[in-house]
Amino acid sequence: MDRISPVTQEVVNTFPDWTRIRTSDQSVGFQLLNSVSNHVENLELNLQRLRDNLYLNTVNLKELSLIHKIDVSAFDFTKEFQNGIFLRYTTPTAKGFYLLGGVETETPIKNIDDGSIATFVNADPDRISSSSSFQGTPISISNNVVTTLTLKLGESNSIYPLNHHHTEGGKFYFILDGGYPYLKLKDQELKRSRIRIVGKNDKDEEDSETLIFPWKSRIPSSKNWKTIEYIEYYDIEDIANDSSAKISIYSEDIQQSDYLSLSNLRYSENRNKIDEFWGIIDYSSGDTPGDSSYLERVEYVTDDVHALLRGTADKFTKQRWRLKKVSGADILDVSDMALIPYQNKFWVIDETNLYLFPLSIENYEKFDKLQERDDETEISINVVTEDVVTGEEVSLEIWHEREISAIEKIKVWYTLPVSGTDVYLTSAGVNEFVNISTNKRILFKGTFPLAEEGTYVIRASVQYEGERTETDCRLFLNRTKKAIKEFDLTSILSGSQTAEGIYFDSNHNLQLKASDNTYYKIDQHKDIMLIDFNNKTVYLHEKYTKVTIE
Amino acid sequence: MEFTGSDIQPHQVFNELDKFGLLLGLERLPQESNIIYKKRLLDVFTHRANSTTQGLVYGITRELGLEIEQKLLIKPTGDDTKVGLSIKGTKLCVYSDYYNKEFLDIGGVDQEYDLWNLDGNAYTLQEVMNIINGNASIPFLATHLGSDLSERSSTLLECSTSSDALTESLSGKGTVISLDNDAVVEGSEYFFPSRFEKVNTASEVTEAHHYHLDYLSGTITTFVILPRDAYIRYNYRIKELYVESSPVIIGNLQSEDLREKMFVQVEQPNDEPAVDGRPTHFGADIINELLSVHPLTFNK
Repeated sequence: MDRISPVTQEVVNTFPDWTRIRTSDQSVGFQLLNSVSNHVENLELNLQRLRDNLYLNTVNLKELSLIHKIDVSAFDFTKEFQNGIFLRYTTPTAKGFYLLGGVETETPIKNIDDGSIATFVNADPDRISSSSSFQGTPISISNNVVTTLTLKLGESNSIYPLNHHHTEGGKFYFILDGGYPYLKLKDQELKRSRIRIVGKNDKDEEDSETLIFPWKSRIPSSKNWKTIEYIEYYDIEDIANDSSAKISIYSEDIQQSDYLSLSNLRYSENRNKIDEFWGIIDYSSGDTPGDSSYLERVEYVTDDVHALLRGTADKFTKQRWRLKKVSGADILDVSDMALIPYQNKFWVIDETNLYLFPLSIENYEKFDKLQERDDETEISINVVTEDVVTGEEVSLEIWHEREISAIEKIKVWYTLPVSGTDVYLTSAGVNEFVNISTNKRILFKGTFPLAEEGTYVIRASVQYEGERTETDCRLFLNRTKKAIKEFDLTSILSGSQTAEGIYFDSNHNLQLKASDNTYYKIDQHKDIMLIDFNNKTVYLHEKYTKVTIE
Repeated sequence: MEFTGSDIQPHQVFNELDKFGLLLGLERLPQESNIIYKKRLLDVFTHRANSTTQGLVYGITRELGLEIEQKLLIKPTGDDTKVGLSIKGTKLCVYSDYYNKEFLDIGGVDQEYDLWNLDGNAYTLQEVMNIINGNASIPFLATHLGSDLSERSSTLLECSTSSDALTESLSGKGTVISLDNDAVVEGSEYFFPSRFEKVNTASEVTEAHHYHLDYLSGTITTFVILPRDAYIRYNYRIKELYVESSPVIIGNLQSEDLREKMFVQVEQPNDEPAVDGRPTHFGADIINELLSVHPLTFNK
């Protein structure tokens, strides 16, 4: 399979915790089960979508509801024959015409070659436009001392009313920082830090909602709000004494350091359900990786829920991907990202472009190199720093894992991914064994810089008494992600506007925020067709003013 | 080969929202988007359709894909809880003694304005606002919530500044009881046990069977703690009345008022009630409209 599923870890967790299948994603067993787990993940994602579709409040509003069709019975499809036997119809060339700024514009319409309805429904957009925009003032209150929430409208320093920048209402986002532990025993009862919102919902009714903060995390309201009239807080510890308890309130989910995974299927190696986050790191030219933007996968430092409840656990980056344009060039200044609901993809913007990326974690390449590893080898290569990118150094250790034989000599080297050059770490760049001077289990410690993108092959060979040799081999990936689609935003933005943020609103529409607080609804267009050759009907995603088929 | 206009046909795809539509008896309108359809489906729960005038307005408005909107906000300005205002049938009615005149029909309406008649001074929302805000005898203030004051006031739904009757238990609450609502409509209350006698001021409560009700604050004062089965039923004045409007206007042909508008009334001898004669211009318009929906051959 070309991706490593988050489900695989939970599947291999059924094995003992010392087994390679459980601890190494490069083991044969892990890779074998990964091929099954990818299907399990698809199943799980579809079940999530179906579960949400059971309720009107959570139904996926991007489910296909309207397409267009043309009766082409007057058109003769060219037949292809092989040895006089009908083989298939030749796909005709189709063009669609639509109005762009009042001008009729032509676009090719691609045929869905596999004839699959799923491909037709799930196809990526081919162009974008914006049919509506509005000016809004988003709510952005950061690190406000919690006690100020009690100040009602009319009192000094009151933050109310909080009007959502979408006049028809939307979600608010809250972060509670400090005031922990978030779960505590009080009067012989377990209490959780929580707030109660009172205001007007999107149906113009007076309403209220209670939000619980399980630990330091960004909590969205489950209801859509037009106005918050006041907020009450409960069991936020030691409010009177602890002025560090702070609350942040936002009406838009943009430019956050990370976003909770929408599928969130990951388990730790210890069989605990863990939260997974995705974020953007934008490096400038003075930083180590150079002027570039990276996608990062983030987890909490611990999978122990009690540590999270105590509020002492922070997040850390597990993996990073250098983001590339469709052409392969680096994207330099990514300002925001948005995870796409019910799709394993995400949108990214820089100042003038919108990019679509796959979210899945790609599998390793060059798996055949792992055949060089001896099955029963006593040594192992441990990469100490897993999350390393271009310009940074990989730190590795060679361990005498099972001390059965005495080791006399060692050789450690790696192969560069692009040039294929071997670089030797143990013998000053020469392909030779060197004597081991230590009798400790760590046979070698070393570092090497990541200069190229792709899969590095790291090898370590040892020589035992009697000149018997053994080799361990492992792969290391300097990760990149290449955009599937790329769109120019300058036709949507006007004047000196630049793209500042993207998010999905409560109607699942992609909203683009420009630098002057103008919000553009991004419409996605798919120039594709599905041909029913038997009934002579062409199905289209888009409504065109004119279609030509030749 | 070229295809244009009607060659390119919309093709509806049945999805999860259409399943909800089947459950709730609300079909998707042609080419209706998921977002708008979801809004209409949720509206089924908030604006229940049934065979009452209000239920019909809710149901038809929704099925046609139209909107019910709040148009006016009416707030009381005085302390007199007897005064009331309502939109009823085709009329805007003002009462000096709401409970007695509206519910008990003693003395009838004090002021009445025709919402349907172009010459009735209340044909548009602007005119309704002028009546309420420009009349010292109407202690209410109306605020316009939309953008177009020239809309027809016949689109306003029936409403009243007085709430429906509600019952509140009075047991176990002491001798000075604050009701759940203030501004009790004077005359609307029914006090149980009925042997209790109402007195005019709290200081006059000197005996076990006395009680006093302060209408404005909604406070009951008694001399003794009331028995366990004591309760009060009352109507209260609504503090903020949001008047809704729908483009769907429903009239009741049983109503004398509407019949007068649709048919010329023919006087009958011996003081018998007038009967419907030929249709008026207004009536003819409506009849033609109805005939365009049901052909003349309908049910023949």
